[in-house]
Amino acid sequence: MKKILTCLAAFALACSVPAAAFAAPIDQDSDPKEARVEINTNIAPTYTVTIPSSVTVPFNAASTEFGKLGLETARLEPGYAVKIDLDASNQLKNTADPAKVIPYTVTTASGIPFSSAQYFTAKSYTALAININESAWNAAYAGTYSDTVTFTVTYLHTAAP
Amino acid sequence: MKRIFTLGLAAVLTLSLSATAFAFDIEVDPNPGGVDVTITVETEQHRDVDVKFQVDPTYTVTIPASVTLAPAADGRMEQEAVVGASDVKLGYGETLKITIGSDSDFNLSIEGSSQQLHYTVQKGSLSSEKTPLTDNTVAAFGTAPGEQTQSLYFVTDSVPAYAGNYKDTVVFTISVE
Repeated sequence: MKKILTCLAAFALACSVPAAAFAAPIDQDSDPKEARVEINTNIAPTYTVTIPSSVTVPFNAASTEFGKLGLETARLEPGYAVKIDLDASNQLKNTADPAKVIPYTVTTASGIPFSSAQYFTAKSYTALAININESAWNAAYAGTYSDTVTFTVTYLHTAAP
Repeated sequence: MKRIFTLGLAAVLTLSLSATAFAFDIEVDPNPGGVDVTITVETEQHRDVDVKFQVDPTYTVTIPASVTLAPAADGRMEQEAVVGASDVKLGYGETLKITIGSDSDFNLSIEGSSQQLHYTVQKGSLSSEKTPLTDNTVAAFGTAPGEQTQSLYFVTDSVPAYAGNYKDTVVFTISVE
């Protein structure tokens, strides 16, 4: 029985070794005497996204740096991009009374309203800012306000580049 | 005399059946009153015989069906493959030569994209020292029993910038030179 088991184990081991695949052999009678061989490699897309961390907005600040958003590393397929969408309520809510809010906007550092961006290459960033205008500050009740924004990352096919 | 003549003719007739093997002369004496027949037979003592035969070249070459490159430690893509020839019997001084060619000049490309990734083929394996090809010749085998092999090393020149399925087709050509 031990011998049979040993033989079976050896057979299983032999079967598990992948055999090299060869094209049809070519001999002196083959015509033409050539073989076409496909060379291939598959590289899966990889990327690392940078998202702003939590930030505290100073009282009465019209614009506060939110941090940068973008692709830290990336190896994408040609014509593909990483899209980052921002979902924000645009209202800081009073922690004691959520009905009391301070409206805000998220923009780029240059002041353009931001809702989403597409990135194609590594080291591509967008600097973001949180903006609260003077009238909103003036109308605000005392207290602590907060909001949570959500960044959604999508890998998608685009026409560019 | 008549009898002798008859016998002589019979002998001539008999010998003529194997004329290719013998050379002979017949002399007839025209003297009246009789016919003297002299038969001279010369047998060949040796013959030159040419013995010829031709042995056509024989060989069986094996080429990998495909080569799939995998990531190397430095990020480039690499792989080794083996070409072989068995029971090679060639003419004196002849060599079984295997060359490699690529319509794309050894560039991997992604279907539907202009992105290309150049690669090279060298003699050697993943772990051994590599030797650049000369005139795209990957192997040259001489007459020998059994199997002869040559490891080939495929490697991209750079780390791929883009993801995707890269492909190319190379052509191995076998010739006896």
